[in-house]
Amino acid sequence: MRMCIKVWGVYFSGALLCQLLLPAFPEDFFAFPVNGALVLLAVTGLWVLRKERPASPAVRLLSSPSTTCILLALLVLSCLTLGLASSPSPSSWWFFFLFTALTLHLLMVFYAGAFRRRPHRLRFILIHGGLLLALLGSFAGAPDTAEWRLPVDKKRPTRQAYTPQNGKIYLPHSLQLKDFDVTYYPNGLPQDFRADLLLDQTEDIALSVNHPYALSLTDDLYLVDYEHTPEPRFCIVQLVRQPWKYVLGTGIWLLLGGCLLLFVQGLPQGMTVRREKAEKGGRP
Amino acid sequence: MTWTEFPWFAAAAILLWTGGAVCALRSRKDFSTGAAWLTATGLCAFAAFIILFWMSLQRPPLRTLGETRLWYSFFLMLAGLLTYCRWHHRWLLLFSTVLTLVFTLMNILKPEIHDQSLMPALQSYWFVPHVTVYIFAYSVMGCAFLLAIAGWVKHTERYRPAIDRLTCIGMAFLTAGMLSGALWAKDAWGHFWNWDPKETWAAATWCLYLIYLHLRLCGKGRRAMLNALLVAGFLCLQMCWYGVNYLPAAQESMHVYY
Repeated sequence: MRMCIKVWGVYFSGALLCQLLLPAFPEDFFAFPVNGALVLLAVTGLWVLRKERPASPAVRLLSSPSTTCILLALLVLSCLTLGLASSPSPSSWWFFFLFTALTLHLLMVFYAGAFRRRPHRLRFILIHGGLLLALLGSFAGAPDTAEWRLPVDKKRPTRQAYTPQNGKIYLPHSLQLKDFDVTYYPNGLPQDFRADLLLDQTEDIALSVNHPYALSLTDDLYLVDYEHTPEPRFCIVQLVRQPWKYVLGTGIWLLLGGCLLLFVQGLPQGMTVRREKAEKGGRP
Repeated sequence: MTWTEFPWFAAAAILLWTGGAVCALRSRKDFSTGAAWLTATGLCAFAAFIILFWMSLQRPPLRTLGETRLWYSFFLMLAGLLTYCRWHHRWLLLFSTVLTLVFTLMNILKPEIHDQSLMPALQSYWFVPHVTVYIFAYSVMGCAFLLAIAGWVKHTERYRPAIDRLTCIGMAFLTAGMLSGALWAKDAWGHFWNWDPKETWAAATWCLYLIYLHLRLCGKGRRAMLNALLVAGFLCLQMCWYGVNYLPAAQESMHVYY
């Protein structure tokens, strides 16, 4: 435990120094193919390390239960800091170090538990594998994720979109508003709104809240807002590019399966043993 | 059915639950069938209001803070009853009743503004499972919190098995609630996770309970530390549920209750 605290103390001191001394985290540098290569390197590198040197300090550190608690505690503290901030941004050196450590640790724990006989092995694989995929999809996939907003009106087709920083770009597809329908509750709040759009002057598409349109395997269109007048003349469409959504989505569904098994199968074996001790009056 | 009729149903339910709690405390046996039946009847009265209210609103009563309190009260008593039936902790029904009474009184004395409108983003098939699963998890964790406090005050590990099981079940539901929210967010806003204040507090809460489970799995952690984690988890959970509404960051949140 003390060794773990020392090593992670040094590691996160480095993270803090980077956060304080270096300029903003260069997220774009880690865009594909760099993130893909790093993920591949981590997956194969840790596998080889575990096979070739199972007793090495690095393997013991990364698969230690103390590491789990230390990293989770740091994540709690980081979340609390973010939660109390008025404009939180997890894109920073600190979170880069934290999520890198969490991913490597989870990968090592997965290798250690998924390939040996153990009680509730399927549950272990679903929970840890799912969490690993979700973490990889969101953390490694973040540099490839982008969004743009397009004001779309009825007058003419538009390709002009805006980044969250108000940067202007031109998309390869054009959109034109054909029809917009909004209904209101008696108290004036919007009940529902939907837009009929013309994509590339050829294809009719319908957009409403909670019902995005898949433009391609990586891009989705969302209806996010409209002109708040009795007869709206334009609506705001958001284009989200998220190539890693399949990795993230798979991770989420695996984790949901693991939760179901956690509920059905109950307590893990180790806890049951300690439960019996506790029932006899012993301390855990 | 409107909030005007709520005090009648609530009074009937509270009376039955109090009767159940007294029965459980005064019973000579570890488990009192009468206490369980009284509590179950109170739950039926409370459930009847929720069902009739749902039908009259023509939407699930899950939108406002007051409506979520309604579910929390129901699930807390349900979790308390199930825990009592399984582990026979006779004082748990009283604790659950007192906690439920607090939330029910809040709804009666300080009613939120209720209307029948449901904003477009909430009109999704994820709405009911996401919120009910989360509120059930909150209630189960509430029971675990009560047991942790009792164990702390009495300096005993007697309640640890029940706490472990409740935390395990609560964790399964908490995770399912969080993940269903992520899938819904992808449909509604395009991103699974936005680091919205509510999501950030949800992540902190989830991690705290995860630390507890891992400490228990490894057999590490002293009694005080384990109980402190459960208390911290419960406090974080309250922040996540309604505390974020009072933070400056809530101005930008997409999860604020109306």
